[in-house]
Amino acid sequence: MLVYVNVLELSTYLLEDFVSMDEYVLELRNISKTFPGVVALKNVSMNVKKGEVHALLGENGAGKSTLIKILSGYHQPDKGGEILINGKPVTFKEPRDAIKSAIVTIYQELTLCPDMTVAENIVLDKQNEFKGFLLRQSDYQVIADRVLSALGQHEIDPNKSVRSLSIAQQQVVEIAKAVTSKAQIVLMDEPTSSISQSDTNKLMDIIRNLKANGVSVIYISHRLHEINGIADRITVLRDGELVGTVNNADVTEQDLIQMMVGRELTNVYPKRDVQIGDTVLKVENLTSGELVKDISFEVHKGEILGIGGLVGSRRTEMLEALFGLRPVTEGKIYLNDEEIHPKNPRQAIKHRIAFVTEDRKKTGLVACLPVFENINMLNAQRPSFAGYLNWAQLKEIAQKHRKTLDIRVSKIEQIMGSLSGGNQQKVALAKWLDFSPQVIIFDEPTRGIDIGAKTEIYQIMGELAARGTAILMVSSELPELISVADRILVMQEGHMKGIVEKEKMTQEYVMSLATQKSQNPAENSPMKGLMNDAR
Amino acid sequence: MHANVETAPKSRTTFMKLLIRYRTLVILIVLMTVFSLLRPVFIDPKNLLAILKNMSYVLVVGLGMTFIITLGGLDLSVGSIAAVVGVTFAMLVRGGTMAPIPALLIVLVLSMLLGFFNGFVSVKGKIEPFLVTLATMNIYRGLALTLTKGKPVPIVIPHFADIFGNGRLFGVIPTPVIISLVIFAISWFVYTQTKFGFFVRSIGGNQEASRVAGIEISKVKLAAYTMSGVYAFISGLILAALMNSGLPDAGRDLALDAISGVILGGTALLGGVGTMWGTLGGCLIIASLNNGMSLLGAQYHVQILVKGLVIIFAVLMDNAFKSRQR
Repeated sequence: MLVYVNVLELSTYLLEDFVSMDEYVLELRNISKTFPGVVALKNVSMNVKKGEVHALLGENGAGKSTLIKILSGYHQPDKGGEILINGKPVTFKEPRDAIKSAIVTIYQELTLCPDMTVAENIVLDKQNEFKGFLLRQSDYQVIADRVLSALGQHEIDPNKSVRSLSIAQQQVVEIAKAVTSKAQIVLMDEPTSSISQSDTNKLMDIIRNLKANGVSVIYISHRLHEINGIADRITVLRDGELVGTVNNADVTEQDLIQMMVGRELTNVYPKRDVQIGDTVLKVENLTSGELVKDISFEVHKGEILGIGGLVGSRRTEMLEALFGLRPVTEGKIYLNDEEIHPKNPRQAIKHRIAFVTEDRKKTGLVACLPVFENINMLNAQRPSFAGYLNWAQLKEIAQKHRKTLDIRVSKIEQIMGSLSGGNQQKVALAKWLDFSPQVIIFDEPTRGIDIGAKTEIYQIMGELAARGTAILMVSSELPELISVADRILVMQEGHMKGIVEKEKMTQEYVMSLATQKSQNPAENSPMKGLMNDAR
Repeated sequence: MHANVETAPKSRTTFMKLLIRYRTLVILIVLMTVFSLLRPVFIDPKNLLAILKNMSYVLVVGLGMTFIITLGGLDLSVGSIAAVVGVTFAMLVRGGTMAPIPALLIVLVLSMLLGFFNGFVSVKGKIEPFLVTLATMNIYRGLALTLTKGKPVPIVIPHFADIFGNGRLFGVIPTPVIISLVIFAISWFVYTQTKFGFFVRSIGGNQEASRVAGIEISKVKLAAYTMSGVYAFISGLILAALMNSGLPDAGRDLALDAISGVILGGTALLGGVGTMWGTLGGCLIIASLNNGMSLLGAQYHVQILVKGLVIIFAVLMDNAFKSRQR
């Protein structure tokens, strides 16, 4: 019935479909979404059948999460698009409107109240189902107990506060909250991004169960094999545009990858060949309170050390300790064989360590200031006569960076917030460069920026490495980590799980290090030897 | 440094946990012990009842404030609303113009409107509640002063002072104490046992999560600010009854005293966490401080100085414990 078209020949095609229209529980017609400076979705149309598991696939920034957030009422689409539920057009102004249409969502970011109990969180979105004004703690208990045991989570106490759980357990609570709702459509945005393999398997069982009960599931994941095992159909997005919808049975993983990345696959991560030199930064048993424990590594001149791990593995916290943003309670940091004690960022900068932070809006830039002032954030602190700033000179510096980093702005006086993610990232980096840093820390350097700009960022990183800079790069995208890094340090809940050398880098291996149970890592790991080596 | 954390005996950590949990109670007990040792008359039942009586109108407002602060908000205008309540009631019943009960109802509706206005401007205008209520604090006070031309209005109806102010149940317990404890019980129930309390805590804990859970955030906030008006109404009546007149100047310190009590009780200014018991304890601390220092002969200006220091101490302790918890 369904015709499979070779994806290599056609960039966009639609599935030919003979199912009558009213069988669709959900239809999207020409949905677009524009954020200031970024077009997140362009004319996307798709449909979902009753009782179907429909996977949404695409690289970071492809628009999957935006689509999910439109369906859940979190964002409103641009005018011109249409959403139909059971054949009837709907408008969601608020998440509660979507909930009324029996659409339930597991968001990528956790949406739990940390100081409430597990049970309270699970019933938070179901209060309309309980009559009257009073809470029914015993009912909640029953609901929570039932779902948690169905999920095989006997270690999670429903009466404990969510704050006391690990990130993985919090993710499970998030799942429990969604699957106990009365839903006709469940949206899942990377529900397995921080849970273990066995928990993932239990989730898959639950999805099959939902499907058997006629519930449709829209499922986002980076992990192709996961989608392969569960999805009926797959819709692929790329750079906010629809690539196509295919039957899972008709395609191979290779086809899907091709659809996801288009033709530029080989050009995304430009190759670079850099001589790796002496040790620049050496960290021994770095510990910061209860959060970061016992991290040891070395980074050399011209080397890019990747840092991998799941959400909540406290990679950022570890880097913050290096940069003086968190106290180092134990362990030593050596820079060119000399021990240093950065107690605050100012001291770290004096040692010529730079930190391109993860959250550009919060810690990377001042969004309301113009580009040239952002670039000169550090330069302006140089000693000067009576605090006088030579803006003509500073603007010149800004122009220089604009040229070398290819920062695309109409003029350097442009306000920062109006730039696209990629250009913002370049400015966030530019401000460090006049200090010729010896170590640059990149925390998720390509988050929220489009593929073209990503490639440019990798190129810039390559050039910095070629000039002898030691680079630390945190990334949650395994392909990026594996292609860009020379070695990868894997963390889990603040502990170091090993350092993976170039020849052993595979997504599966890094993932297994990042997710294995923390109690006894060596036991269930097939990589005993390596774990010992790394320590 | 690590030796302290890692090798600390189990019993010590559970002790610390208990100390964290009941820190308000601990401060209160220490304070009361010290005052009792210095001035034995402090623990005389009569004096303790006096403390409870002087605390009553602050506690009532503090209970309403617990909802507001748990939401992540603030209401600085409650003292001014209390003053409006006192003077409008006094004016309505003056010279027998109106029977007391209808007058009370009118004033109740008025105080609800004033509270609702705070919430409405803050929610619809998307303005920080701090700014809104800073403004309405002045507006409502201005209203009370304008209505009375700045002069007190005596309340001359029978029984009013007895019921809300200086009367005693069984000739022993001052009526304001009874009123405030009844309000406490109701507040505790609403806060912990009803959907409304649940939503207040969830919105304060994570507004976005509550929004995606389909909770009507605006409605909950509007309701909470309207309720804060009702709490101010009760507090205003007690104040008016104690003075036997509507004073346009009444309740100047009310909002800040109530906020201090709530904070001392461990409710987080950022929202999400709080208890009514904590607020009761916090208000008791402030009332005991006032009373104890008066007994020691300290004057008002010394009292507020110490009160400020105690608040800083309590919040510092709060933070220290929180960072230890992580």
